[in-house]
Amino acid sequence: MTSASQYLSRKHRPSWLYPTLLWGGIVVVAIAIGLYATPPEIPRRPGMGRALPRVPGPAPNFPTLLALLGVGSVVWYAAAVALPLLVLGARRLDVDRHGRARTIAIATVVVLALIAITSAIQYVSVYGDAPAHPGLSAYLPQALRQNLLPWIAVAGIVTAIEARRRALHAALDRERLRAKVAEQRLIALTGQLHPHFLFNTLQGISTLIHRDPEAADEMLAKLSDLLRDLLRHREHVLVPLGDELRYARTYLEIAQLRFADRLQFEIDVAPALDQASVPLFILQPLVENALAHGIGGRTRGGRVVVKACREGERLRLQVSDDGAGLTNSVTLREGIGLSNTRERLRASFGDDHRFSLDGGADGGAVARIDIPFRLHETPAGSA
Amino acid sequence: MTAIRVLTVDDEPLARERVSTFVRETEGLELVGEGNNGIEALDLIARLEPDLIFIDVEMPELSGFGVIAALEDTRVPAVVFITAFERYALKAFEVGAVDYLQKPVTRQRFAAAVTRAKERLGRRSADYWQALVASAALADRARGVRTRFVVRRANTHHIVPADQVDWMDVADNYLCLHVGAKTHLWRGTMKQAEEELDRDRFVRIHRSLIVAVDRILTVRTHESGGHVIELKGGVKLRSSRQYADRVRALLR
Repeated sequence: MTSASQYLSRKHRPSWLYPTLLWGGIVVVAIAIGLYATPPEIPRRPGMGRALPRVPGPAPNFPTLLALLGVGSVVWYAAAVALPLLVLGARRLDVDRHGRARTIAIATVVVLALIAITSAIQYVSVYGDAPAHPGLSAYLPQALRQNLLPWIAVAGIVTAIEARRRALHAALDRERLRAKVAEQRLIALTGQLHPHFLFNTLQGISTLIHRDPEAADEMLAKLSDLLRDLLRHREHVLVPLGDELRYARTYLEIAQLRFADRLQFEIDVAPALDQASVPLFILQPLVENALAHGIGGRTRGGRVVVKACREGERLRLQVSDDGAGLTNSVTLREGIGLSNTRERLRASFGDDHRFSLDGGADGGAVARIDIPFRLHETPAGSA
Repeated sequence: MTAIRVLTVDDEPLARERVSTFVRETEGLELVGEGNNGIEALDLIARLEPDLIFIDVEMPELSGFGVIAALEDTRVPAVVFITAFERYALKAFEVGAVDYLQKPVTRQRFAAAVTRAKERLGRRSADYWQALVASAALADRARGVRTRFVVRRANTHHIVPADQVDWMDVADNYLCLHVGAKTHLWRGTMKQAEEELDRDRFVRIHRSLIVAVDRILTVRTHESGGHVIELKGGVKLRSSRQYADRVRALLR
């Protein structure tokens, strides 16, 4: 195995290799066609009216050099040179943004301009030194014959390349989107039931089993509800607000048992909003945050309030606590859960959302989410 | 043989109750107190001088690691950490802790931890407490930058949030934390504070001075090659030439 072939093995193949090879091939083909197709002297065209002068003189000048290379096919060289530029140009031309008619118009204008340019070059190179020039109307048929077809062919190649590129990109975008959705779902799920919560609850149950079997029973049932909801929503990205609230309620009820009587909570949402569509587990990190900072560690009790309301086309969610508030910095309180919230809101709504965490009017903190109001659509096939 | 005096600490009463119950039911152990949070734990340790503590790692404000890292006396109790799910630094506290228990704590596991604690209490030394406090500090640091200082006045402990501190300087084995007109004494070194604090918010300007970046009002160059830094409260501090780079970095 030579090092060159190793260099060109799949792993090391640079991204510019194929386009460059393709372009080089096209240039070579164009030159071959040019040399093959050009007669040794500039032909006399029937119907041109005037005789075309033979290229004169012992000293070769620019036009003679061109003639030797096949001046009649100057258009092929031009096409070969212009191809990559046209491909790049086509990349910038977006049918969705510019509209179909405008795109076609732009392409037509470009092709006509190229025909005009190569025709002009041909005209100058053929008749530049000649004493007599054919008129524009006399030259037009010849110019079209020689220049129209190559440029149309080039336009076809460019269109084909661009179409293939777009199809590839669209496929890639779809794949990325699918990965993104899967990732969102994973973030949502892993953020939901912290091991800390799970194992503290289990420890609570094991305590209660000995002292208060009824309460242990209740806590176990609630934990089961929570896990069931967690498993049920594995497949979803958007869920009805009612489901979110049920989850939050179960969660807070378990917390209430864990913190004995130190926690009070209130969920204040009109039943009409149960069918509003929200990202899966969007409330949970806020509730957890309120719990951790509002109640955790304090000897006297604390209070968590969850509210939701609709204002016009907006859905406002709010989770507040009366805990230590924001005496420390916001960044201190904004744990990983909340930065996930931010990221997930962005993934679902782009810039069309607001999320804030502020100090409450009477201490504590208030987290607010403002998203577009949409009704939840039950996916086909599910009950 | 006198009973081993035990303190249990967890922010969740129900979780703590399980361990406290085990302590009560075990012969040779005496439950002397229960703590609801980290600060309470420090007060109780100072007042009750327990031989052994069972302490939850994941508590808000001051973690179990933070509590042990803040202990000052040479009479440090043997420690068993309790954790729901420790992903930070099992290794770090294995260095010094007697044992660690995972929730839900089983009777067998608890008994094993007590046996290990008894062994350890039999051969406790100054090295032991130093290693324990140091490794707890290390484990606490693994949880993130320092956001608070625990300061002690007599037998009560207080939390001084790091972002309330304007500047700090050295006094013997302590750092003076200047918070407005108040000064708190924190047991620790400049090096430790510099390493543990958020570097975007605190800057060391002198061998014995650290200032909070957002409290700085003006910075003037001094002929010595250092700077004169005026803080919002009117305090003026001289930085030395060795730290001039860090001060200049602030101005960029």
